[in-house]
Amino acid sequence: MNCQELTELLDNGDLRHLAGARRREVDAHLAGCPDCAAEWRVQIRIATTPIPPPLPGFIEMCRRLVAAGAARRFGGRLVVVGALVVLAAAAAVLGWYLQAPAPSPVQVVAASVVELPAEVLPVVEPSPEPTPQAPKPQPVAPLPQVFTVAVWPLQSEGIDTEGTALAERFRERVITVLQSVPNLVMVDTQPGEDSANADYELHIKYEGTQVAPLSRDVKLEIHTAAEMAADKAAIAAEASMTPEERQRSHMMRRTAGILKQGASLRGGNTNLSLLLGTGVPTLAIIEAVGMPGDRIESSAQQLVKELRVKVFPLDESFEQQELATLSNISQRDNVRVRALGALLSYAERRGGFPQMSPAAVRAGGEFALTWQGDIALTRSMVWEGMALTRSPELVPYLIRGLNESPNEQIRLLMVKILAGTYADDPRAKAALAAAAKNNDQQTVRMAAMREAGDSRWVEYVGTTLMDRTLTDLQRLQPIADMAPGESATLGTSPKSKLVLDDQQLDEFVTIITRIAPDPTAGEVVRKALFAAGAMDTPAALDMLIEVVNAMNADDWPKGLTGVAIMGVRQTANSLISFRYRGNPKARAVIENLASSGDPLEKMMAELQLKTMDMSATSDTNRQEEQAAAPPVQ
Amino acid sequence: MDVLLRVAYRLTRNRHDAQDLVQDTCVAACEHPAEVEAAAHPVRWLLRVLHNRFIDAARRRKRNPLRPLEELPAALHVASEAPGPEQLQQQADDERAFVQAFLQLDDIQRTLLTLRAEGHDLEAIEAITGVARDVLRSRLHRARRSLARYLNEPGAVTPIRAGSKP
Repeated sequence: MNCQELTELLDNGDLRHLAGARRREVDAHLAGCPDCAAEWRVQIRIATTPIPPPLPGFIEMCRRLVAAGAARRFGGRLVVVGALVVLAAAAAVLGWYLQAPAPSPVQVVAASVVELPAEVLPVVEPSPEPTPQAPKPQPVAPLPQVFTVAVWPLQSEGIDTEGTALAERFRERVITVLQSVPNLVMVDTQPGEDSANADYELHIKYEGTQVAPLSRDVKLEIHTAAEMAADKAAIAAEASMTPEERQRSHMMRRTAGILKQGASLRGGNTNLSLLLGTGVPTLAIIEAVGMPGDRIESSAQQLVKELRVKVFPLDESFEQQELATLSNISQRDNVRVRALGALLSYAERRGGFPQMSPAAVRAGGEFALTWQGDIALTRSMVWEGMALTRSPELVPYLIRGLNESPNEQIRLLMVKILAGTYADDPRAKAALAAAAKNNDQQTVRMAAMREAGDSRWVEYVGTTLMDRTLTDLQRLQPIADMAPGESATLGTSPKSKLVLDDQQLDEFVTIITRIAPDPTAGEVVRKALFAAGAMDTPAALDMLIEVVNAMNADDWPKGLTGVAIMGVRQTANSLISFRYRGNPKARAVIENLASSGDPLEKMMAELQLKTMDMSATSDTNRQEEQAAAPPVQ
Repeated sequence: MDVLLRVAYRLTRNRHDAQDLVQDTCVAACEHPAEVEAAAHPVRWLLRVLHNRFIDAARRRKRNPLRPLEELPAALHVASEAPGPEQLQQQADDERAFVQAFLQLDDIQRTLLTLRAEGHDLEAIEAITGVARDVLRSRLHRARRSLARYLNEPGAVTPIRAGSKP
C-alpha cells in the first residue's frame, strides 16, 4: 500500500470494517509513514469520540416537533417520509430510555416503528418526566369577541437581501389575510417598545441562508400578553441558576414557545396529535427550490388558518365552514381530514372532545367509514380520534365499521372501541353479540366473543398461530390484538392473558423471523411481539433473546428491509431491558450488545443498561416505601 | 435522531449547541415535508439541513462572538466511569487538547471530518455539503493534516496548503 491508496481509503473507504490482509497492509504502511499515520490517527480519533446523551426531555421535545410537522403535513398528501419515522422511532427509543421509568405499550411499539414507506409518524405517550408542556386549554367562551393582533416589523439579519425582501412580502401578506378574520383588529407597534399591548403579538424573523439553500423560511412566534410576562419572569429567574439548570430552562422556554398552543391531548390518545397538530407553525416557507406554487401565499394562508384553529378566540362561523368541508364528499380526503382535526381542536378548546357537536360527530363518523387512508395507523387514528368524543352519535358508524370494513384491523379496533368506550351502550352490546355469532371474519368473531368473556379466545390464539394453512400475518393477528393498552382512550385491556407453550413460542419466533423483513407487516409484528413479550415468563424472555439473536446486526440488508429488521430487533431489545430488567439473563444480553462492534448498537445498549440501573433503583425505592408505609386500615 | 445528535455534537463539541442544532433541523425537516419526501436519501437531506444550519449559525456567531461559557466536554462524564483518578485526568487532558485542536479547524473542515467519521463516502458528503468531489478530496486531506498539526503544536494556527509537507 502506498500513500495514495491510504489517502483514498481515508477519503472514501470503509474504515470501520477493515480486517485481515487489508488491515495488515494498512498497519504496515502506517508503521513506515508518519504523515499518513498522523492523518489516520486524527480520523479515527474523531470517529471514536464519545457522544454524551442529550439532556433529559430533549428527545421528547424533538418527538413533539416531529409530530407537529407530521400533523401539519396531514393537510397535504398524508406523507411523511421514512427518515422521519426512523427519526421519531429513535427519538422514542432514546427518550424512553432516558426518561420513562417504565414503558407503556405504545412507547414500546412506537420505539421500534420502521414501517417504510410510512405516511404518518409513530407517537408515544407523553413522558411522565418533566418535559416541555403546553398549557392546558381552558374552556373558551364561544363568542367571537373583538380581539387585537399586532404584527411586529420584520426582524432580519440582513445577510440575504433577496430573502429579506421575500420575508417582507410574506409579512405583508400575513397582515392582509389577518385582516379578513372576523372581529380581528390590527394594532400598530411602536419603535422602542417591546409590547404593543395587543391580545396576540406576532413576530416574524428572517435569519437568512447563504449556503446551498434548499429553501428560505422565516421563524414565527405568536405571544399572548400573559405568555410574554411569563417568559420575562423565566429569563429573570435563570440569572440565579446553575449552568445546567439554565440550559434546561432555556431549552424548556424555547420548546414551550414552539409548542405552546394546542398541544394538550386529553384521554391519552397520542395518535390524535397527528390529526390535531401540536401547535401553530413556527416556521413558514417563503421560497423552496423546485416546489411549484406561491409559497408566500400558501404559507400565509396556512399560518392564519392555524391561528384561527388553535389560538384566536373561537368563532362559530369558522367552525361551520369546517363542518361543511368535512361533510362535503366532493372535497379531497386530505382537506376533509384537516377539517376534522380543526373541529376536534375546537371541541377540545371548549373543554374537551366530548364537546364536539352531534352534527360534527356524524360527519366525522361518515368520513371515517368512507376514508380508507393508506396505512392502518392512519385509519385507526381517525377512528380513535372520533372515539375520544365518546358521543352516542358515533355508535352506528362504529357498528357499520365492525360489520362492513374490508380491513380486519379496523374491525378489531371497532370491537375494542365498542367494548370499551361504549360498554354501557345497548346498541354496542347488541352489535358485539351479533358479531360474535355471524361476523364474516373469524378473528373478529372470536374477538367479539372474547369481549363477552368467552375463554375460547386463548385457545383460538394458539391454534391460529400453529395453523400453517394461513398466512403469517393471519397467524399473528390474534396475538397482535392482545397487545395491552395500545390506546388509553379505548378503555380496554385484554380480558384474557396470552399464554403460549414452548412449541407455540418456537413457531412464533419462526414466523417473526420470516416476516420481519417485510416493512408492510411492521405494525402487526410489533404488536404481536409486545403481546408475547408481555407474558413475563422465562420462556418469553428466551423467545425475545432468540429474536434478538436471529436479527443479527451484522446481517442487516440495506434499505427498507434492513430498517424493518432493525425495528423488530429493537422492539425485542426494549422488551428485554424493561419487562425483564431485574433478570440477570436479560442484563447479560444487553451487556453483550454493549460490547458490540456496531457503534449504534453499542450506544443503544449502554443507554439501556443505564436505564435498567435507574429502574432497578426506582424499583427498590418503591419497595422500601411500600414496606415502610403504614398498613391501610 | 442519533445520527443527527452525533454529527451535531462532533461539529459543535458542545451538548447545548448540538441540541439546538438538532432541534432546528427537526423543525426545518418537518416544515419541508415535500422536500424530504422528494429526497432520494432522506438522511442525507436531514444532514444537509443540519450542515447548512451549522454553517449559518457559525457565521452569525462570527458576527456576534459573544459565547456562553464553554461546556467542559460532556463526553468526559460518560468516559469517566471506569478509570481511576489519574487515568481520568489524563483522559480529560487528552480530550480537552483534542477538542481545542478540532475547534481550530474551519467550519467546513469540521463538517467534512465529522461526516467521514460517521462513515459517509465522498458521494454522500458531496450531496450533503454541496462541495464538489475533487475539492472534497483536497479539503479532507488538508483538514486531517491541519488537525494533526494542531494536536502536535497547540499554538499553530496557520492553515496548511494542500500538497505541502508539515
